[in-house]
Parts: sequence; structure tokens; C-alpha cells
Amino acid sequence: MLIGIDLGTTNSAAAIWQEGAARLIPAGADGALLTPSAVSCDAAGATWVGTPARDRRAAHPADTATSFKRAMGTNTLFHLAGREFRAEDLSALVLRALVEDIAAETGTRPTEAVITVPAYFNDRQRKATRQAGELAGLTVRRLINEPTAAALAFGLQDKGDREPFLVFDLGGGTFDVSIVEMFEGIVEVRASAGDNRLGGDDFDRALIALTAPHLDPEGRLAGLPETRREALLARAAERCRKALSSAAKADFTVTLDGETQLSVTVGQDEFEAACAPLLDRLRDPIVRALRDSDIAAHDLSEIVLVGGATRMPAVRKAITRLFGRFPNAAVHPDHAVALGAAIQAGLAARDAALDEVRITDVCPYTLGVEVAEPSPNGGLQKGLFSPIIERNTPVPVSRVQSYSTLSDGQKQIEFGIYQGEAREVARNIRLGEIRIPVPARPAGEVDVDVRFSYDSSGLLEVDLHIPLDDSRHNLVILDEEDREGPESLAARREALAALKFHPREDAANMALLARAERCYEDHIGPVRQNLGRAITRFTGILDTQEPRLIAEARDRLSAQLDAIEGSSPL
Amino acid sequence: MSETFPWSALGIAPTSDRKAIRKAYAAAVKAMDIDAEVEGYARLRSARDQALALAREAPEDAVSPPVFRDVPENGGDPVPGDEAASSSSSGFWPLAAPRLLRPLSEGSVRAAPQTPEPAPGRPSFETIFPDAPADTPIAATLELGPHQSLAAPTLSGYGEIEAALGLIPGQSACERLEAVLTESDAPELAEPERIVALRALQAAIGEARSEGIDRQEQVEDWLAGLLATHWPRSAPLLETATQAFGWHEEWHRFDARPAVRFIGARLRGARFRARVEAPGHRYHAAWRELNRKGPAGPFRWLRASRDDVQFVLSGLRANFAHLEDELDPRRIASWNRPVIWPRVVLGLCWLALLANLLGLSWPFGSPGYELPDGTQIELAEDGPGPTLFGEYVETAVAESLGQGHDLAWLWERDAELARRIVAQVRASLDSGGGAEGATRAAVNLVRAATHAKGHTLSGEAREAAMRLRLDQLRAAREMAPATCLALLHEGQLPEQASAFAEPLRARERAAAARLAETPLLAESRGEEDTSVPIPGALIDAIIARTGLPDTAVREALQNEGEDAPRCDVAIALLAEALNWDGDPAAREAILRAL
Repeated sequence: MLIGIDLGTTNSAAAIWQEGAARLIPAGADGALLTPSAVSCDAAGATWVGTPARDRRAAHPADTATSFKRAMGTNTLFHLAGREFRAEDLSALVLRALVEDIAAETGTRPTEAVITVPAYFNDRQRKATRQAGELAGLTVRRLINEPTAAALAFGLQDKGDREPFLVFDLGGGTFDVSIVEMFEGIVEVRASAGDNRLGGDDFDRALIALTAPHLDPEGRLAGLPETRREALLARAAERCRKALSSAAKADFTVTLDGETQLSVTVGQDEFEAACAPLLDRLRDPIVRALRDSDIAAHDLSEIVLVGGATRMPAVRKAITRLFGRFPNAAVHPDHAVALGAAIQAGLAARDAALDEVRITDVCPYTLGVEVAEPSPNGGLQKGLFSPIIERNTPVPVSRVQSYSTLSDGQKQIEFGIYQGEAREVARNIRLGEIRIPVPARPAGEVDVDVRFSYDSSGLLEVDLHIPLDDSRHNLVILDEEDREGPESLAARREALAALKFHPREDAANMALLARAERCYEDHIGPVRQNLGRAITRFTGILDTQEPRLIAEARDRLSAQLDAIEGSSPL
Repeated sequence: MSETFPWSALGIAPTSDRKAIRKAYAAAVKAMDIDAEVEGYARLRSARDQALALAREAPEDAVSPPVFRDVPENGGDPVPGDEAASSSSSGFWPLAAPRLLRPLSEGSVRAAPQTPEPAPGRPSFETIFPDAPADTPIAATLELGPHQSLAAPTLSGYGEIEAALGLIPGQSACERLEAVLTESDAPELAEPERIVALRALQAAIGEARSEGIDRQEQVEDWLAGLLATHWPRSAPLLETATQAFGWHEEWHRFDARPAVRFIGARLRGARFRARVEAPGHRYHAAWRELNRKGPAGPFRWLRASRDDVQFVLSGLRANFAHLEDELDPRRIASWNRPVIWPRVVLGLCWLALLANLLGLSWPFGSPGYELPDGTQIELAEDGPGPTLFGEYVETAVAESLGQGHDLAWLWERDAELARRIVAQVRASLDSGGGAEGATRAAVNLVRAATHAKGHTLSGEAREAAMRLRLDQLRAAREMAPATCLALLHEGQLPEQASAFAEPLRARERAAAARLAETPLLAESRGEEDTSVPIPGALIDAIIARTGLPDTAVREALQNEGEDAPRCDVAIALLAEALNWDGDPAAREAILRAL
């Protein structure tokens, strides 16, 4: 079975293509459709993923990881309860949880997946995502850009023709803009641009910075361990930001211990002013995408919002101002990407219901090699970028460019391979390099044809050909990230498999316990004392191992928590 | 490509029906596996795009392209040829070449013979000057298409009067900015102009911000072109505009718009200069040395190390070629000559001996004049020494602010003004104005600064400033109408004008000293609505006071006619406004305008 997965910064979701429609798969026992992208461990090796992990962050901040998508493709290590994880490992755990959910829902264990990535994810980040899928035991059939997936979900609502529309995808950690057109069943991405360092998390940070001078006059937060302080502030910010989406004012509240709560009231206007620098950063990718597709903003037929952070009134206001009209909120901002991924899965599986649908995407950034050029004042200017595939070229694409040697008797050429838009390679992202031997000849007499092939998943292949001696080289990118062989991949998969997960029915109890602990951390006074007693009672009943008693106690505690939190679980 | 290319690939007959083209394309895409037939898909895409382009051209003329995007850049980036063609044939860029490698036997793979790597321990130019672009140097001038004003004038009721005064034209912020930049050929904006321009720019940015993205882009494009075409006059505006539109994100891109790249090189040049001009910078001495006039003598190496000078010079050439144009070529040429050691050593001994004998100061490198904050100001080699120069500065300060005030006093209160006086004195001496010219220039400078600052005040202080202004205008009118107009528009007396008489000078000095003690004017102070209605009662009073016919007053207010009536009308307006007890807000606005 081929599934679609939205592997998000804050939340992830899985969907399947079934009977001619995309459908989201509920996560875990409580029927929620989103799985928080969070992983938590304890010293005994027990591992929580999703809602319980996010809830555990309150009580165990140092052993819980969130927003790790931002570290994809880097060497950042997360230390959870004495174990080391890379972002791919943590993502793999989230993917595995989603796979379990699908297996439980459909009775079949999926083996292949379409996974979404931000359009502006670079080659390294894409490779890391693919690796996460493999670590979770999935064959990644294709990576699809998130705004493209959302455009599929939006465009296929009625399958009618659409003049170019803009998908505005502001997620927890990344921002993407795509301009998409639909005609005759073809969903055509005209251009994409983005900022892979801008998302809802940044707005949370702005909120924390805004409240910092007033929140804690006595400096009590400073005495806490850093991870705990950060976890407390992040949670307070997330809550406050969500509340500000529907109210003019909201409290930014941090619960320190049983007696103390720090609280500041934040107004919508203040928050908006604090976000101004972030809102300014929305403009540049939009302008770039419009310029590249040669479409004027007023010619766009719709502005489609995707991503949880587009719920913020400040963001919606900025969009309305930029485009002079109200955005379209017709698709569910948290579900569209996963649904689009499932549609792509249906396409990849050549499902008959999608026979008349095709999607074409673009490569959102420029790819090229490092060159030297004679400079006007007689020297040699090195470190320049020579584009081979220009950004927003339709993919798949294969392009060739010729280069020649620059010194007499040169025996080797080194090609640095880069991605980016700067004239100097130093400002671009280095993807790898290839060195090839060349026949020794006078300068300029040896030509090398460099072919870049970029596939639909956004992965790059480089082939070199020297016509002079007809030698060919296929690039094995000498990249630190890629040095690992298959053995070490297998070893890491095993290490992840060795982590202990709670059996499914047990998982519901653990999730509830984590939620109760989070609730305990959030409250003070009698409510907290009651909760403390309830938790002790519940753990006592768990020890009896009596399924009937446990089920009853679970319902009781769950109802109690609902009452305290004043809302349903999600 | 065959003549029938786009149509044969799409499998249809030539048509201008967009729908038919897209339909044919869609059918073809659905019939192929694009992942397996990469070349075929590329061919189909380009066929579709070409067909659509032909269809678009067929019924009507193509829309003309935006002004700046299509301007070819000087020096030219290599631009890949036709996309469709380059995928099948191997496009070759004449300028592109792979990084040079030495034959492997030599060990290192990175060094290039022509430009040796910096010696170990010396970081690269780019590391020391992070603003340095490894760019092709930008030509000194930029050919840009003519740019059109964006907005129609937003005239309020008395627009022509404001326009006539030439101070607050009833224009949009964009037009006002353009007017300030174009109204003179002077390479720099004078002080009042700079403030007006900066405010107009801020207003234009603010207006653009509140608009939709299309309009923002339009304003941005237009501004980039305007600022680039009017460099160096636009120099003080570049930083603000760059921050507002994020040009620093764009200018290092290979597809940056020419105007933005031009501005980027200029602004980075200015930042480089500011950094290297700060005493204590690693390359300060080398920079100072390069900025001296005339050829460098054999002792040049005593003032700056040869390596440092070469380093700065080569970095300058590669990155900020326009800055090199400002240096004396003779100085650079002499640094490019090798130093002949024996002569140097011998000459050094002789000179040292001579210097001792004659009791002269050390002759190598002219001595500096020390500012109150310890900064050394480089003095011209053939000019007065530091002591004499200091006396000139003190004379200028006393003459501008009154006896009993010296540079140290002013420095504490308004270091910026103090710095500018020193610079002005130096510039006047350099240009052969002598001590007297230096003092007069300083007085003029302080007069303009006082006036500009007076504008930002309110209440009593402004009232006094405006009365002084009125008397200055009257005195200037006595000399010549042109002098009066120069004072009105530039805040300064023309160079050849004689000085004001003593009682007025005393008032000017007192005002300048008083204002030096009030805090600096805040440039960020937003410009309010700049349309100033002038009530009819005032116009009547002006007619009565000047004795000019109604038509002449109107003409003068439109900045037309003889100098004398224009000057008289401006004086009358100011005098009447000061004595007027009508609507305080209207009065305030008129005073602000004057």
C-alpha cells in the first residue's frame, strides 16, 4: 500500500488514497487526525511519540524533542535520556508511529510512501527526509513539495480549470509560496520560492521576547534549568498565540510550581507590532515567485492558505494588505498537505480515478558549479557560481553545460556543486564535489560536459563527460552526510527498533498519564492537588492489570481532564 | 528547429487559441511518463511555451517590459542562451571556466598561479570586509532607462503656492524625492536637502508599505532606478532604502536587478570606507596613505606596510572599483613601483639628520590634528601644521558660536556639528580658500545647521529661530535678491556674498550656541502632511506689505518672475505669519514650511 505523509515541524499527518478519494488516518486511540511531531524518552528506554510525547515535554523537557524538522540535513544531535538522535532518527520515529496508525486502521502494513517536504528544502534536507523514511522501513516513492501537495488537494476539489493561484504555506518552521495553474486536469506549478527559516515557531519567539520584560520582574525564571525554562516559555507562547487567533487579548501564563503563576496579558495589536519584522519577511518570497512566473499579483485568481501559522490574524491581515483581497481558506490548513500527498500516492500508483490528472512541478532553486573567470583587471576571479539548472525550471529536467581547463598541463578538474542564487559560491549551499582526471593539454583545450539531472522528487544527479577521451564519470557526492554506507544505515535502523514502545492499548494509558502530568504542570492550588491525587490513583489502578478497572479509571481521568481544560482533547 | 516546431511537437495546426494549445499540451503530457522521458517533456514544455507566446503576440502588441528588468548590465553577466536550445545542444559560456587546478604533482589543488592565496595569517579581503562582494566591479555609471514618475501630484487647495515656494511642493513623496535629487547637479545633497530627501524617502516607503504587493514592487523598482541614476547625490539615502526593501538580500544574487546591484556596490563601498576610516582598524594606515594627494615619496613604507597597501588596493579594485577613482592615481602609481632599499636607507639617515638640525617635526607623513575624542585627522602635506590648523578651527568655532566657545565645548554638546566644522575647515584649506575662506565656510555651515535644527523645535525656541530667519532674509535682501533666494533655498549665503553686519552676526552666534545645547534633531521624525494651506488673509497682507500687484504675488509664489519680488514675497509671508494670530495649526504649518 502506498500512503501519503505530511511530515511537519509541529504536527504530522498520514492519509491514504482509497476508493477515489484521499482520507486522513486518525492517530492513536483518541481519534485525532494530527500527530504532534514530538518524541520523548525515559532512562529505561521507553519511547513516546506524538501527543503523549508533546505532553511529556511539560514534565520532562530535557528528554523530549520537538521542532526537529528544522535540524533536518544538519549534524545537530538531540540528547534524550542519555541517547543521541539525529533529526532523521526522530522523524523516522514519527513516521513509524504514523505507519502503526495506518496498520491499525486498515489492517495492512504500508511499505511505500509519498512524503512531503517544504518546497524550499535543499538537497541535503531532502536526502535526510528520504533517509528518515527508509529508517522507518518505508520505501520513499517520491518526495513532493508541501505547497504542491496543498495545491493538488485544493485543485482537485472540483477538477475545474483555474487561472494561476498562489499557495501561501506558513508552517511551524518553514514558509513556502507556490504559484499554480490548473487546466485540462494538469496541475502545473509555475514557480516556488520560500524561506526555510521562517515559521510559527518564530512568532512564538517574538511573543516570548515581547513578554519577557514584564513577565518575570523577580527573575524567578532565571533560576530554572535552561531546558525547563525554554519548555515553559514555548508552551506558554504556543497557547497564547492560539488564543490570540480568536481573541483581541490573551494571557501569556507560565506555571512555575504549585503556588506560582507568572502572567502577562498580550493584546493583538502589541503582538502584531512585535511580529512586524517577521511579517516583512513574507514579502520577499512572494515577490520572487511572482517575478519568476511573470504574473502580477492582481492577476492571481486565489490566495490559498495552508499551514497552521496562517490562522494568525496578524498573518491574514498582512496577506490581505499585500494582495488587496481576502485569502481563500477553503482547504483545511492542517490537512491539505497530507491529503495532497495521498493524491500523489494515488497518482504514483496509477489509480484509475486519477487517470486524467497530472502534476508538474519546478525546481525552486538554482543548481550549478563553481568556476573561475578571468577578471577585468587581469587576475583570476575564483569562487564564482555558474548556474546549470536555473530556478523554477520544470522538473524532471536534464541540462548540460560545457567547461574547459584553465591552465596548461592541468591534470585534474574539481567541480564544486552548489545550490543557491548568489554570484559567489561561498554564499550558496555546497552539495558536494567531484574531481576527475583530465588529459594533460594546453589550457582551454580540454572540454568537460557537465550534465545535471533533477528528478521529480527534487534529487540531483551529476554526470560528467570528456569528449576528448570519451571518459564518463557519474557523481558520487563526497558529502559528509552521505559517507555512511548501507551497513551503518541498517545499524541505525536496528538501534531505533530497539527502543521500547508501549503496546497499543497500553499507549492510550501512557498518553493519558502524560496529558495528566502536563495538566498538573499547568495548574496551581487545589486543582493541582486534586490532579496529583488522581494521577497517583490512576497509576495504582494500572498496576492491578485489570483491563475492566483500567478502562473505567481511564474514562474517569479523561473526563476530569476535559473538565479542567474546558475543552475536548484537541 | 524546424519552422513548424512548436506545432509539430504539440500535434496541432498553428493557432492563436490558447485553450486549444493547452488542451493539446495536456493530452501530450498525459500520454507520456515525464519521469522517464525527460528530454521529451522539456521539448513539449518549450513547444507549449512558444506556442502560447506566439498566440499572445498574434492578436495584439506585446506588453512593453518593465523598465529596469531588461536593461543589459554593463560588463554583462553571461546569460544562458535559449533555454530550449541549451537542453539539446551543449551551450557554452565563453566566460565560464572551471576552477583552476595545478597539476596534481604539485600537491596543492587549490592555489592559482596568477593570484597567490593570501599569506598564512592574513585573512581574505572578504573576511575582513564582509561587505565586499566578489563581484565583477561595477562600472562607474549605470545606463538605465528613463523612469517615469509614479503618481500624479496630490495637490491640495493651495498646491501651487507651496510649489512656488519650492520648499514643500504639493507632490507625492515619490515626486518630491525625485525633485530633490534632480534639482541640482551638485554631487552631494546639501544639509536641508538631505533631510527633505530622507523624509520624502521615508514617506514613500511608508506609502508603499500600506499598498498591495504590485504597487510595492513598482515603487521599489522605481526607487532603485532613481537612486542608482542619481548616485552620488543619493548616497545618504541608500541605507534606508536598502533596509526597507531588503536589497541586501538581493544584491549578491546572480540575477540581481542592475540598479540593485549598483546600489549594493555603492553602499558596501561606503560601509567599507566607514570601517577603514575608523582609527585603529587593521588597514587604517594603509587606507590613509592611499588617500593622500600626490605621488608617494621613497618613505611611503614608513607610513604603511607595502603588503597592507597592496592588500587594500587589490581588494578595492576587485570590489569597489569606484572608490579607487577617488584616489590620486599618482599615489597609487608610486605604490606600484618597487621600493629601492639602499636609497631609502641613505635618504632616511640624511633626512633624520636634517630634521634634528633644523628642529623640525618628523617629516615622514604629515602630522595629524587630534579631535577631542582622540581621533587623528590627517592634514594635507602642504597645508598648515596641526597647531596652526587647530587655531583655524578655533577661530571658525568662535566666529560661528561666539567668543568663549571652543571646539571641545561644542564636541560635548553636538559632536556631529563639531566634526563637520573641522571637516569644512580642512576642505576649505585644501581648496585654497585660506584661513578667511575656512572661517566663512564654517559660519555658513553652522548657519544652515542652525536653521535646519530650528525647524525641528517648537514653541518659544522656534519662534526665536524664525524671527532670526526673517532678519537674515531681510539683510540678505539688502545685499542682493539672489543672495536672499540662496539663503531661502539652501540655508546658506553664496560664497561671494559679504558677511552679515555685526548685530545680526551676534544674534546668529547666540542662536547657534543655544541650539548646540539642545538635543540633536531626530531624523526619524516623520514628515506630517506637507500640504500647507495659506489663508487668504495672509495673501492680502502680503499684497499690502510688498505693495506688489496681486498677479505679481501669485507669480512669485509660483517661483516665477524676478528674484526681487520672489524674495520680497517670501519675506512678507514669513513676517506676516509670525505676526498672525489666526489658526495656530495653520500658522505652525507655514512656519514649518519656511
